[in-house]
Amino acid sequence: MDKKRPQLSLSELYQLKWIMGGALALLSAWTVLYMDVEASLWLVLITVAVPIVLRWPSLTLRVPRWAHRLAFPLFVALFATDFYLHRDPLPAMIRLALMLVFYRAITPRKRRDDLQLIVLGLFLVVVAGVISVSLAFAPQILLFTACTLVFLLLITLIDSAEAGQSPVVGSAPTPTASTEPPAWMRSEWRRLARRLREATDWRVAMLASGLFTGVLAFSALLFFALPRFEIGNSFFLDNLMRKESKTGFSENVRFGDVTKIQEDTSVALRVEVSDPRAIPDSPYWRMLVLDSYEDGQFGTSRELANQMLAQKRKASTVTGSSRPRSGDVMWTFYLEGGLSRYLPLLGSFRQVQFNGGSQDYAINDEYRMLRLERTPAKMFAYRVEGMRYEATLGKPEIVQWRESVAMHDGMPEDQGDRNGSPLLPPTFLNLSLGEADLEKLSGWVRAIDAPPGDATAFAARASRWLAQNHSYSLQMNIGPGDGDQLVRWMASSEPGHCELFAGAFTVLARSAGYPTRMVTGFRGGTWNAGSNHLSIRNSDAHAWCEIFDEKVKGWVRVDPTPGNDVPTNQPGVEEDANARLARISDSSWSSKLDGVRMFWYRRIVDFDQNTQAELARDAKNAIQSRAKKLKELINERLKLIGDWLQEPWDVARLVAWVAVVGTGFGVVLGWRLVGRGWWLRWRSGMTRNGVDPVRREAGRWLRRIATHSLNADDPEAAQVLADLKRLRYGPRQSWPNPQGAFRRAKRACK
Amino acid sequence: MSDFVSGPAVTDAKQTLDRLRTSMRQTIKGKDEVIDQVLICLVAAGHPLIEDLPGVGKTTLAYSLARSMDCAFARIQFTSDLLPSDVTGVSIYDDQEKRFVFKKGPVFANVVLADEINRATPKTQSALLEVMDRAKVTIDGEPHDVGSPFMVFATQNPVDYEGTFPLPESQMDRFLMRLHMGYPKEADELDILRSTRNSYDAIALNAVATRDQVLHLQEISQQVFIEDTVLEYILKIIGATRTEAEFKAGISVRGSLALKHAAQARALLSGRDFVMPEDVQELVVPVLAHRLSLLRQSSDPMEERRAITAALRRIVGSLQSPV
Amino acid sequence: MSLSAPNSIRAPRTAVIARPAEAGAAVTAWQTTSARKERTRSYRWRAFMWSLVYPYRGNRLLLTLPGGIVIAVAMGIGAAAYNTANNILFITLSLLLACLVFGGLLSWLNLKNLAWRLRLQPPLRVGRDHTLSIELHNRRHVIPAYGIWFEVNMTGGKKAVRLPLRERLDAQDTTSLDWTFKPTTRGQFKVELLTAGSLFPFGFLKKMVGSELKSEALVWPATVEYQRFPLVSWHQPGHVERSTRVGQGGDLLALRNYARGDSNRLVHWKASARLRRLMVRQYAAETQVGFSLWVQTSAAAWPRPEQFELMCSLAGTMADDLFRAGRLSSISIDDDAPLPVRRMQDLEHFLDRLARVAPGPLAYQPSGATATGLRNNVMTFAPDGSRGVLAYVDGQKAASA
Repeated sequence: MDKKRPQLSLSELYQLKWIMGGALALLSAWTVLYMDVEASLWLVLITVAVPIVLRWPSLTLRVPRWAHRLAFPLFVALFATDFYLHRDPLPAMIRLALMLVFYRAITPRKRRDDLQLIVLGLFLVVVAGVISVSLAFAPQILLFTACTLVFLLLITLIDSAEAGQSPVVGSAPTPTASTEPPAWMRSEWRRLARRLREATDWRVAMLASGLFTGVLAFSALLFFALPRFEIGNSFFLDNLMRKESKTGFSENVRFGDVTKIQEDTSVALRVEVSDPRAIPDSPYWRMLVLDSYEDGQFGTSRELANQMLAQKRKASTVTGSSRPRSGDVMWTFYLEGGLSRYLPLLGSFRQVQFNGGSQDYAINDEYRMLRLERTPAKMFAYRVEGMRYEATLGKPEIVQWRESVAMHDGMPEDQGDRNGSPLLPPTFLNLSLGEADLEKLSGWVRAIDAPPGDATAFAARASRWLAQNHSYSLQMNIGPGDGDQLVRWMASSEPGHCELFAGAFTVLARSAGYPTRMVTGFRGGTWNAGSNHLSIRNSDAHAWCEIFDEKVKGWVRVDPTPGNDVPTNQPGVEEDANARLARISDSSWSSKLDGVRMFWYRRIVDFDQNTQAELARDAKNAIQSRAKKLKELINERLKLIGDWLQEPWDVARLVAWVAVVGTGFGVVLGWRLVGRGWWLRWRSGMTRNGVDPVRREAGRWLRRIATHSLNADDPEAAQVLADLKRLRYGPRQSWPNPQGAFRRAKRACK
Repeated sequence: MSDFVSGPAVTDAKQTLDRLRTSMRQTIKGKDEVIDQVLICLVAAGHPLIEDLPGVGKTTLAYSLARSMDCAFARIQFTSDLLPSDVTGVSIYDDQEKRFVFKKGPVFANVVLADEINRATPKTQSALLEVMDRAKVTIDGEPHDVGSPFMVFATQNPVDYEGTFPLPESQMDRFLMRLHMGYPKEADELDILRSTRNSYDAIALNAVATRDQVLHLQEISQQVFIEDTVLEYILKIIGATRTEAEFKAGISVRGSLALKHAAQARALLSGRDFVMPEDVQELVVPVLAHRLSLLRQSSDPMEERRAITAALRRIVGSLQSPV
Repeated sequence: MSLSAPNSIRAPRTAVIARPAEAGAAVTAWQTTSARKERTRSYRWRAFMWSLVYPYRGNRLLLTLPGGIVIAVAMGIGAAAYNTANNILFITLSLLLACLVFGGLLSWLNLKNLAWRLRLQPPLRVGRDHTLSIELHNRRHVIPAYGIWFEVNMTGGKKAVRLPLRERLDAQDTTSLDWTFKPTTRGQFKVELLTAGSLFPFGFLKKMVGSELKSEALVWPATVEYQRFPLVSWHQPGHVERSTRVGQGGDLLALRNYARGDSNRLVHWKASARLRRLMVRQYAAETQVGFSLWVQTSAAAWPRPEQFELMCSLAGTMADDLFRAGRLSSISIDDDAPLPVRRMQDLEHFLDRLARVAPGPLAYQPSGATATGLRNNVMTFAPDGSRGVLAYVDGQKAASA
């Protein structure tokens, strides 16, 4: 006899509900962690207070009555003040929601309050998801859904258990005169856990989790199948919050800024390529060009900035200056939010398409720079077609006519002859250094002793000279003395990082009379073989130079930082593409997680109408190709059989054939005669409680026979009946073969 | 697991029982059901309480059973002035031996017919009931075994209730079954009238089973297999009597044990080595009815019996039998 | 907010799977949701389409307040999702929708394959507590049932009574939901099971399944307190109607149980002490006065309905008491032939009739020419003032209520 499962009592249900409520509050409060809202006070309060009241629920009754009365006016006042002070509606609302969650979590709740808690939690989770599009949203919402379902289930169970009764005293949120806490509040949680385990039937639990998985699968299906059409864009929550870009990828770079970024090993940029062979050997992802150097700080000069042509209209596609070529690959970039408003690119491109609608942007074809009006706060994706990886940036292949809305004052009257050489504004030769420093520089230029007029040779020699004097380090240690820090460093033999090398090279080249500029961005990247994308981490941030070579009429990339190759003019032609990928591929655990995140971006966050259509097409194609393959397979097999049949028959073949068929037949027959019976017996031996399967089956047959009114005089029928009865009620040792008995019963029933 | 009977033992048992049944049918006409129930009592080592009008063959039944298995038979007519010692026996002083010698009473037999048991005083009744329970008589602190096998046929007249001491419920519990003979059918009665003998002493039956065989039957009946769901079914029936509003009190544990043993015996009687739910269903009324009493007392005992039977049938009907 | 939809297509979702046990027990047949037998074959598109137009009686799916909130939230999120093409919102929307579907599925599972029946334990009596129980059996193999309630309508009740299943009902288990009630009027008592409903699992949907189980029982008149007047025939064998066996003389025949009305002189104390209940000596010539009860129901005699009710109650109580004392010999209503009372069944039959009687036109001669009028020890009833009722034995006041 199986033991009856115990029932959870009402107070145990209350305890469970209390725990689930606390869990919900914690879950929804922790969204703040990745939301970038200053609400750490509430986060800490909730994180500390909720476990305490979970452990000692009766503490909630200690809150004096006036506090409850004051709570809501207080929250409203706090919200109003907050909004007045910050003028930021969304963070204020989030803080308000957190306050309410806090209040609901630490006071006794009625049914209405439970629902409120759920709605608040949902608000927080969804808002956090929308404004961060972080992968954390996925587990968060799943966990939240599971908790909410359990919570609602408990509420329903409590309701039905309490139906018609007066509710348990003290479950009401007015802990007024009743100082006596209700029974459920004093309890040992260990006992509750034991009771819960006792009351849970594993089959029901399995069924419930299976159903929940089904819900998830169904919602995934819904997600991909919901019809998509865009109505409009750009007015939602994420625009309610401002986000600054990281220094280092903004217009002004102080020494050490890039290094600071380098300390962060999280992924900054993910690139998906339709053809991995197009990935260059050592890619330099250019973001922005810095030309001015003043007060130890590189920056974009006003002149250069003015050349970024801001477009009047928002658009979702930008046509670039590159000519379409056959075999152009498609690059999809996923730029982490809050990084920069300059989009990393390899070089000139034919077309950029922004995912997620139109954007304000500015572009300069000469410098191959593309800038958004504001730094994206969340992940920003864009597709680039026909991108060229150029070691030498020449003039644009196609000169696009750009309608500018930028201010024209301060810009050179002539934007340069568009068909002539690339524009050479004087900013690329500017050196705003003291006399002493300039002299030191010209001394070093002489020491480098490059043939004049040969920019490439100068670059090589200057790089070598720098590398001789300085080693690479992430530490920044500028030599003693006064004057410009860059010159000081050059004079010393301290190690330095990429910015210092690039800066030093820039000032050296300029002082030697070559127009030079500093470029920041990323270099390299690792290939994630799991999800087939290139991830570029923040630690890949880099600064390098571009020097204008009169001979080729273009800007040649120079990377003076030691350890980096001198620019190769023909990127990785000799090396096999696969080998290259293998060299840079990464299969660590973090890369696997990165693959998941990539999936999240690629397939979920970035899912739109086009992708949906693509998915449908893919699914259709896959099904069609499978069907085709299957058909081919069947045809092939049929043909094989036909061939085989047409072969001449001899005795050996016939015997072999008969043996094979006979064995198969024997196996089937044996199984039906004996095997299934043994199997049933074995299973019935395994059955601990409840009716074992053989008995159940026999009972089924007995019932069926009862409706058939067998002829009782027929000895065969009597035997069948006796066998079935014995199987159903008799001792196991005396059983006939169950399978045989069932088969005879089946025959008798006909 | 091997302490269940099987195969040949069951066949033997069935043959023995069939012989007994055939033998008893020679004298008890048209009462096959009652004969079966008596045999069940015999196999389950229980005692039947036969409740019917005088003269329907209660004594004949007991006597023919005793004769069929070659056992000692005794009959005690209970009256209000019957003393316990009249039943169990008495110690008397033997002058020659200078000590008390125990003179065995009529209860020292294998089959004892206790006629009209409710006529005797409670004291006498309880003396008999004690013997029934333990199969022993204790006189002066000294136990004396009564016959083995030992079976008491108690009878009482349900209609003529005046001047009786009805058995209390606690004592009723000691009987395995309560049986009703009823009038025979016309054809059977014609048969009886045609027969030449007219007293039960004239019954000439040959013993068809030995005492040892009967004892063996009793032994193996305990080993008849009962499947778990059938046991649960018994429990459900017992449980239902305990919650049924009509009854004053439910069936005791002794009652559920009795039902189980009776069901085992019935299975043996039909030549099976396992119990089926129908064994239980058939025995619910004879085994349980006399252990129950109605909350609403009825002035008519027959009325009460009918109501209890109906309630039990209803319980059996409402419970799903394990199939 | 009332989405009315048929929740099971397979025709009249109720199937009788067992015959009513016994007529007297007032247990109805089992009624089940979606029995296995008659499935699939009767599934027809036409039936389905019609069921959309005319849902089966009582089968409803209602949205509760939380369900409304969820749908409103889903609609809000859906609007936002379509406005912004934000996939996070689409995820939330699809999760919410999936949860709604999940809730509907669980709710359907919860009410699937259940069987129930009504049990009403007769006899019912006005003013006494009785129990109405619904036996609920979970016929599923694994899934327990939770949070189901039944709505029951009964005569005299103003609105439907709700009988909730408070605890889990395991698979293959049976439980009984009880409702204690007090009938207020005599006569036919009807109990109708309206719906089985459930908020399970998440309280979004209120799912109800119609049920047409009915049970009827007779309610006997109330027992009333009455006052006996000193009357010779209560005690003395006046005009004798012998109701017990007569022996040869005045000597002790036997002992018997004490019955109400026995003189305490007759108690046999020794026997009583032994048996722990009162025993009385019974003499061979013991006799008792048997009464005949005659109830007249003419509207002329009973102008006031309350008085008529009281009379019925008094008659019922009197018959009961007299029967228990063994002194009720016969019963008659109006001009029926007097029915001798020997067994409990006769009394019950009389009470059944008393439960149904109503003041009617005069259908007999009251002048004493009837059979009853000629008998002795006849108890009749008559109004006493504007409220009370008097019982007369042969024209003498015997009791009043």
